[in-house]
Amino acid sequence: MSTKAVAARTGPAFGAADPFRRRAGRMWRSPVARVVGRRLCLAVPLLFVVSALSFVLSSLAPINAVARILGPTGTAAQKAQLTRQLGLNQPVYERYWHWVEHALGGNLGTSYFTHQRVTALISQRLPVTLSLIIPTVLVMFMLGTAIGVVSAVRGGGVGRMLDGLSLIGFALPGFWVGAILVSFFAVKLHVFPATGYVALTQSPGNWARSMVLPVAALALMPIAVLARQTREAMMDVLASEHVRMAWANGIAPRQIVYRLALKNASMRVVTVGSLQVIGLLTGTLFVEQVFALPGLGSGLTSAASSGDVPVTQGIVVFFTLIIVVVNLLSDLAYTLLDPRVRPS
Amino acid sequence: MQAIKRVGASRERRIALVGRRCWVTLGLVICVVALIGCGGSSGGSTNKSGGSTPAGSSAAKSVLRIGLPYSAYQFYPNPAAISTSGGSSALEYSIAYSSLFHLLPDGSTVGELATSGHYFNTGRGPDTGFLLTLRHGVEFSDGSPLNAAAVVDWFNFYAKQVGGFNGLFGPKPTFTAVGQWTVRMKLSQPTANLPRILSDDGDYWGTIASPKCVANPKLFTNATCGAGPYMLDSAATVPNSSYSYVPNPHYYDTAAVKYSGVDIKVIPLASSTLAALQAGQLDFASVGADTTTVASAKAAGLTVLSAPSAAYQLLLNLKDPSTKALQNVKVRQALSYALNRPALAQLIGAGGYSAASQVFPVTDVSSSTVSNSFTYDPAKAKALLAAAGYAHGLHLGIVIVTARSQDQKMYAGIAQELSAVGITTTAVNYTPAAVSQNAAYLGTQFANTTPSQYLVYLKPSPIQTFGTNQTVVSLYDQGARASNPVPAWTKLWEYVSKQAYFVTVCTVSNIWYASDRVGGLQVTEPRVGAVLIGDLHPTG
Repeated sequence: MSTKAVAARTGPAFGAADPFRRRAGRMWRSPVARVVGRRLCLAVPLLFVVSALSFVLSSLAPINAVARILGPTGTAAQKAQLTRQLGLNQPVYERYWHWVEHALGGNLGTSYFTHQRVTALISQRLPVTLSLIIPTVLVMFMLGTAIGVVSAVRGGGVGRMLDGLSLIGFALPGFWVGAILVSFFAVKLHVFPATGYVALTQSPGNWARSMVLPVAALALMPIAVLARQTREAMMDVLASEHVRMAWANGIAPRQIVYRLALKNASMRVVTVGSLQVIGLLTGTLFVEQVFALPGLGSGLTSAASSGDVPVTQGIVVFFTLIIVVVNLLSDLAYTLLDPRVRPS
Repeated sequence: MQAIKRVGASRERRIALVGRRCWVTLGLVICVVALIGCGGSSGGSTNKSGGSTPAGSSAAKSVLRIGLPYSAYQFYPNPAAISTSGGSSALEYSIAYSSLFHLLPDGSTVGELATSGHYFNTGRGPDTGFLLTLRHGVEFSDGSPLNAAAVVDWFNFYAKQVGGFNGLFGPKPTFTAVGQWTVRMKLSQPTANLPRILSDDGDYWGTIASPKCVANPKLFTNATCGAGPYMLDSAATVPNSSYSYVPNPHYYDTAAVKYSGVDIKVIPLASSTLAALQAGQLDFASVGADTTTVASAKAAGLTVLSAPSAAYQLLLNLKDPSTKALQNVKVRQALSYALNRPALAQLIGAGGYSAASQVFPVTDVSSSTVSNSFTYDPAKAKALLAAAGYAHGLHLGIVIVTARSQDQKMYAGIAQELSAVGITTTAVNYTPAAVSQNAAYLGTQFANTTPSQYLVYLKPSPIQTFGTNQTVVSLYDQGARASNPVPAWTKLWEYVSKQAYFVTVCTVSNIWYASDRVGGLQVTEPRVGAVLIGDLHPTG
């Protein structure tokens, strides 16, 4: 029986006559698509759990937004009225459910104090936090990897010096480093501003100046961690048999260092780097306070300390989204760097 | 063997080359950073176009740059809902809102949006009627005119707000526009010293907002609605972080606008505030009551100004049924005699806190005339407790905000000194319910006028903590009905102090640092440590 005859009797076979389905099938079989799909599926319950925990903890905190708004002059009747207005008379689970309903529609609520929409607040503060995190990530990967590679390859005095520097960076807390940098570069030399943020669109030069010290303060420890991990990973690879064979075969050192050693070591660099990027979100809470930057970190600090649950909730959920994206990117990097890695 | 050595030598050379490239790259990065650093000076005042001018340049008006530890505007965009006054909140509101009267540093008032005001007889008793005459030709920042109808709208709006000082004039006061420029206020309880209350360092009754915002209060969220010298630039503002103000084109006294704009930066950390001042990024700043950087600020050549703005005290809850001992005045006085106030003030921060036992703060009665009734005398405290029938001591629950380290320190100090006279204590974490179910609440009470303090702490009401005391009510009324309330109110505060309803430990100062780029700063006790925008001008 010919193929046409079979097709006429049974209909078109899956993937044979439907190019869209065929492409979709191929795409789903690709490891990258499976990584993305798996991560996105996991993100949904993660967001629910994090938002629920954050909501319950914020609601249980001993900071009373109603008392703060009304101050000492608030009567019991006024407190009851405002409590009803803000919906705080409802049980926590009911309030959380309302929040979820609105959040699914893109509405993260309104600040108790400023009456500003939380989505507007996030979009207003996000550029500042991104201005802090993106350069920090770039500096962290560039310098951390470079120091690690040089330290592993050169060894000797330079290697020990770089190793020592990374240890010092590891030991110094970011907020202290920030204060020292400010006192030297801002107060004594007047080279960089001590506090504040200038929008990139307003003045790229002043934006860069306003970000140098915060980025330096935030990046110091991640650079040290990454440099140390890169160095160790590089030394492991450089000592391996196949690299020694490569030296013996006269392969160019540059190719050995970058193509063989660094590529093999990069798995560990990506793993540590992605953890450091997630850690940077916590770092922004301190650095934005020290440098008075109007970002999400300082917004979260002030909202949490004043009992502004919708704002706290919105920023925590947004931070969780960032963590999901970072994890996704690191998983993608694994699959690209080492084809043997497949989502389990 | 030689071949291996050659390979080794070549490898070292090339590795050295790799190392050199890394150093070159690092050098380039440093050069870029240095170039960015040389992109402009951070010193001097900036003008609103974003450029830099040397500090003190008089060629163009400069921007006034202020640092504050928090923003009152952030929390209360609508001034009618604000529940504290003085300090940095008065400064913030004075930038965009003019008031009916302006409070001078010595505590006297002059007309601002009102040209005059006087009491008149309403038939309800003295000091219940007040007639305001308004300035002509004043417009709000949205262009709407200030007239009697606008003021009446604002008063009615304020009276209906939840929170704030809306109960100050008694229940249902009436406000009537008489013609275009006169407002008649009929109050349901006598209220002396109204110009002080209606001033820019008062309780925001006099901080008149535009009728458009009063009709649509949502407008308060994104804009200022006042008739002050500046107006909020919402596009350049990030609530609770930075606020940018531009001159109000409708301001009635353009000659009084000394700056091309005002920028407020919220800096919670005192060390960062000091660094920003030293780097020339701020002209002056408040660090609240944080004294940790005062010595460094003085060493850096900054002017340090301060004045008491609040009291740190135990509010005793005589309504707590579980602690009947507090209803005995001897027990309350024993608590006051048991505390070594100078040591406690030192404990939480020397410089910003001064020992005080009077029921501070009031702004219309000089604090020096209200005696410090209780000096440290533990023997007398024990004797008073014995005389009250508590020779073996008693136990008190004290509510504190455990998250505040300052409260923890103060509680620890108080607990230690009370235990020395036989009074044991338990710290209870703050909740509204805990405050009503325990013997005392440790907190900060802001300075204010006698009518405002009376409304919150002394007038019999559900939120007041000691019930009805006819002497208190009578002394307050005597002052409120007098042409000069000071003598009666001085007696009132002396009496309240001796009754020991509040165990005041120390005053809390509002501390300001100023550079030499700004002049006119006056931080005084009658103004509860507040700075108002009209005082300030550029120097040089």
